[in-house]
Amino acid sequence: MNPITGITTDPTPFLLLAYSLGAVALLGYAHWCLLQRRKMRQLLAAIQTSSSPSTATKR
Amino acid sequence: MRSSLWRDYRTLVGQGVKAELADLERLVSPVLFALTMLLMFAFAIGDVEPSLRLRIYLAETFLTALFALQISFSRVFEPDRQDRVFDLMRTYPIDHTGWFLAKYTMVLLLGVATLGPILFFGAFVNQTPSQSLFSWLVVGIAAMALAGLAALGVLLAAMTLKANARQILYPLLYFPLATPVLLAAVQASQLYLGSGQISPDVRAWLGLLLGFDVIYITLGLLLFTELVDES
Amino acid sequence: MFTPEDRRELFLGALFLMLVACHWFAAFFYAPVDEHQGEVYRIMFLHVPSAITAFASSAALAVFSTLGLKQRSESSLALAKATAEVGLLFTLLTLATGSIWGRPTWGTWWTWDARLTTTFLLALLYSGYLLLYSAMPAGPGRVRACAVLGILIFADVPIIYKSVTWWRTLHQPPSMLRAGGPTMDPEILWTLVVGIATLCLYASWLIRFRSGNIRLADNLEAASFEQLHS
Repeated sequence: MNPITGITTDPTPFLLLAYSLGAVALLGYAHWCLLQRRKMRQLLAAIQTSSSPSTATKR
Repeated sequence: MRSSLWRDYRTLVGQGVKAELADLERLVSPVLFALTMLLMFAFAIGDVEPSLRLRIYLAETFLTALFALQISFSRVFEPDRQDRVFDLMRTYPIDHTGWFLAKYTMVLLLGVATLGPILFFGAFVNQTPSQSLFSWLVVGIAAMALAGLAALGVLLAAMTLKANARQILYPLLYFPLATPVLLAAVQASQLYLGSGQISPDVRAWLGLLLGFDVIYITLGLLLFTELVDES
Repeated sequence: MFTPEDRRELFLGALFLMLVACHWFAAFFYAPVDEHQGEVYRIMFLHVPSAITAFASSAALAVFSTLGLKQRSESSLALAKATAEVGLLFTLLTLATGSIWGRPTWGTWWTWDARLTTTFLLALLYSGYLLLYSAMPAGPGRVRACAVLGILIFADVPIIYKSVTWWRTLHQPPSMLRAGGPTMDPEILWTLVVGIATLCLYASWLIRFRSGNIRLADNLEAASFEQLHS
């Protein structure tokens, strides 16, 4: 029982909510960074391929 | 030619005062804004119980002061934006400390010109037959608050000069950083006006205000030179 | 599409994430039940480390900002920007978990408790930093302006904390750092300390990885500009 409010509350939903939010925050941000990194590597590779000497010769 | 701090400071302050006097709108508009704000607060809050009147008066007055000062501070470099004067001055061999102190002085003068009417008008419209709210200690607290806020204001104005959406960015940076000043000013004034004496709690809040002033004036002097340095 | 360097970084990140997961396991199955709050107190093992990470980020922001001022380098700015983002993430997590913990404990989702209020202000300051970064054109001006703001934020945090604490408090008094030793059960204390360490490690990795992305984005912009004009 809560000594301040005098109410007995089931802790499960609060624990679930807090830790789910934590998991979403920690994993979500890392995942976003990962996707960004992959996308940028792809774009950089594409730029480097299109501006390489062999490509220029072919043109 | 080697520039001296005092000479650069004097020249820039003189120039600043002339620029302000040439365009009186810059002086008058924050005061008019403040008086309008006090009126809006009065309409929104309406009649209050006498026991709450002191707290309402202090909250209204210091909030209005913070809003109005923010307008003055954010425009301190406006005259230098024209004709790229700010960029040119960065390349001149002027003492950057003198430049900061000159802007700081200008902002203090503008602040005093803005705060005076606010404190007077705030006490005037909130007074009751049994209670006069004007107090010289509250004026002193406001002056202490201004000292630190002015340094912060000059730094933020220099930082955001080249930023887009400066009008919204400046207050978004200024208000959170100025929160301790608002708390300290209101709490110290409330405790003093409520009890009529300078209790240890009042002294503690004044100590916090003083600490804020010292930190921000020091940071202002150190960081402004880094901000405007051309190298 | 990742380079070997990227793969090493990702492996490190996965390792730190596993440490966090192990800590969460310990938070539920090692730490004993609190006699006053019951099971719900276990939110503390997420809330407190998040708060400490959020505030530690402001110190890191000041360090990177000072380096940025001294070196005038974009890489210091990238680190600082990443730190502000990660700091904002952890302040928001602190506020959310604090609110969720407050509901069953204090009977209310929000209260103007000193530490929550300070965290709220810190979130606003981090947001302001990110707004300044995006509002300024890239270049030495942005490096300087953001560096100055980073230092101002760090300088203001203790003053904000002190002023808000004096203003009001509903929070527990500091139970870890107190003269005479902490008042917590040793198992709870150690679980908390491990939680702080693991989350700070993970946050450091996030900052490093994200700053790498920011620098990569700058390189990408330069490369595409070069290609456009070649």
